[in-house]
Amino acid sequence: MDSSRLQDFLRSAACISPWQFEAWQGCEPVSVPGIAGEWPRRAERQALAVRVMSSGSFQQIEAGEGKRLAGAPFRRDGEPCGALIAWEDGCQGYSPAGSGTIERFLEGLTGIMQDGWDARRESEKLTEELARNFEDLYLYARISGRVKTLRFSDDTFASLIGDIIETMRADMAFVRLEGRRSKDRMLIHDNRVPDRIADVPGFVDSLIGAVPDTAPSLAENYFVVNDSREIPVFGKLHPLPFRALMVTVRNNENFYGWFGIVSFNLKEIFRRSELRLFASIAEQVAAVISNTDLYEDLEQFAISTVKSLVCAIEAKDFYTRGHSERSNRYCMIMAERLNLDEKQRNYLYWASMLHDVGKIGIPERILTKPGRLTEAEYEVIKSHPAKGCDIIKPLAPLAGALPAILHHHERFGGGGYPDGIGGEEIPLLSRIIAVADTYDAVTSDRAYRLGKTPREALALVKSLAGTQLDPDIVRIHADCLRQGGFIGEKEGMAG
Amino acid sequence: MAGNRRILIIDDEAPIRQVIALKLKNGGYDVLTAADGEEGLRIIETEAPEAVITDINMPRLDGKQLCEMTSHLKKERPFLTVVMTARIMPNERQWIDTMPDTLFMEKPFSPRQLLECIDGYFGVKR
Repeated sequence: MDSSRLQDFLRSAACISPWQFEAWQGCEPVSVPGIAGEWPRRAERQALAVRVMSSGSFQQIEAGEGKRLAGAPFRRDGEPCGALIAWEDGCQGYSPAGSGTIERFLEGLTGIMQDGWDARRESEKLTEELARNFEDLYLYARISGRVKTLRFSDDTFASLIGDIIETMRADMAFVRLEGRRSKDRMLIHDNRVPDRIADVPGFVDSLIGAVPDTAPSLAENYFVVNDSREIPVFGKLHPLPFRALMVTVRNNENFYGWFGIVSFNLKEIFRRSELRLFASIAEQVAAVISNTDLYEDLEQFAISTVKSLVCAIEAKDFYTRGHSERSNRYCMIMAERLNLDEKQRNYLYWASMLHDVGKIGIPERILTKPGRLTEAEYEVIKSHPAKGCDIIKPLAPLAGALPAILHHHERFGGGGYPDGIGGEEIPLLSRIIAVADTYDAVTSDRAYRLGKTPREALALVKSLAGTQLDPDIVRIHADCLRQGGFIGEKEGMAG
Repeated sequence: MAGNRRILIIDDEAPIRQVIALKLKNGGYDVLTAADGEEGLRIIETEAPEAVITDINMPRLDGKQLCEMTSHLKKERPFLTVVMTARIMPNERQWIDTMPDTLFMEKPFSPRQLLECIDGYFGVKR
C-alpha cells in the first residue's frame, strides 16, 4: 500500500466534505486523519474497522446528533485485509448524504484503490515470471553452448550437471545412462550436500527404480515427485522430504537412461516451464548420444575395412601371416617410449598396420618364391611401398600415414628404396617401422629359411644399426624388447 | 546493507529494465531507471548512483561511450559499472580492462546472478 499517496488523497477528501477518512490494515491505522476531533475515539474506530473486516461488508453506526461512523473493506485475494472508514461528527454542519450514498462512496473508493493494487501486484507477478523466464533462457543458452559438440565426454556431462544445479537451484542433478557400448553404465552426478546422501549412485538407482511403470506422465517421458512424503515408495528413500524431477533420455525408439534433479527445498515446486526446459535438454543430450554412437559405428566400420585389407595381403603370403599385427605392436610400444603425440601415434598405428598393403599388387609367385629373386623380380618387390600408398590414398583420414608407408624401406645410411634418402630425411615413423619390420621378418619363418630366435634377431638388428636402421631407434627397440619380456631368461641363456 | 544503495539501470528494452529493477528492489536496493544512454548519463551526473547496470547497444549514446564519459567521475567517487552485451568480442575484453570498476555480463543473463554480482561488490550477504 503506497501510504503517502493514500494519506494525501484522504486528507484532500476530508477538506472538501464534512467527512474524515482513515485507512486500516489489520488492527492498525495506516493513515492519519486531517482533523482528530473528540469523537469517535481510536477504540471506537478500531472496533468498527475490525467489524468491517470480520463481516467483509459495509458497516455503519448512527450515534445521534448527526454523528455517523461507516466503513467498507479492502480485500486481498478475496479476503478482507483492511478497512476504509469515514465519519462525520455533526460539528461541521449536516451532510445531506444518506447512508446509501456513503456506502456507495466508500465501496467505490476501496474498489478503485484495490484495482490499482491488484494491477500493480499483477504486474509484479508478471515481472517475477519474466525474471524466471530470463533464468530459463540463460540456462538454455549455457546448455546449448555445451551441446554444440559432436561427442560427449564425461567432462562435458559434469559441467552440464553443474550448470543445471546452479540455475535450477537443485541440490543434486544426475545423468544415469545404461546399456552404453563404451561404458556399460554411466552415472554422473553433482551433489552440493554430500552429508545428506551418503551413497549417491545407490540413491539414484533406487529413485529410478521407484518410478512406477504405469505412471501416465511416462507417456510424455517424465516423472515428477513434488513431495516424497506423499508417495510411500519415495518417502522410504530418504529420511528428509525431497522433490525430484526425472526425464527419460531417448531418441526415437532408443532409450538411453534418465536425467534428473533432486531438491530438499520443498518451498518451491517444479514449474511447468522447468519441466519443458529439462525435457528439451534431455532431447539434446539424447541427440548427442546417438551422434556419438553413429560416430563410433563409422569409426569401427573404417577400422574393420582397413583390417580386411591387411587380411587380404596375408592371405596371399602364408609366411607373412600376423606380420602386420606384430610389427604394429612393436611400433606402438616404441611410440610410448618416444612420447609421440596422439596424432603421430595414430598415423604410426595405421602405417605400421598397412606398410605392406602394396604387396597385394605383387604377383604371388614372386612374393612366395623360395630362393633368390632375379634383378627384375626384385624391382617388382621394390614397388610395394608406392603401391601401398596408392591403395591408401583414397582414405583421407589416413593421409598422414602415407609418407611413413612410402619410406619404410629406405636405409638409414642411404641406398634404400624408393627414393634412396638417408638419416633424418627419412620420416621418423618410417624409421620406427623399419626396425619393427626387420625384427619381425628375421624372427619369422620364410619360404627359404627358418626364423631366428629373438636373441639372434636382436643381434642381427643391432648389426644393421647405422647402415640400414636408425641406431637410436634400434637402441629403443632393444630396451623395449628386454623390458617387454620378449626375450625371456631361457632364450637369453640359449643365445 | 543493501538499503540506501542507489543503482541505475540503463536499457532501452523495458522488460529487461523491469526485471532487473524488481530483482534489485526485492534485494533491498533503491532503483533508478533510464531508457537510453543520454538519460543515463544525466542521472549519473545528478543522482550519483553507487552502481550502474547498462546495456551496450542503445539509441543516442551507447554503453561503451557512456563508460568512457563517466570513467573520470570514478576518480573522486568510485562506482561499479556492469556492461551487458550479447557477445563479448576479444577487443572489447581489452577495452574493459582499461575502464575502472567495470565488468561484463553476457546476455542472456541470469537476474539472480546479477543480484549476486551487485551484492558481491557491496559486500552484502544474504
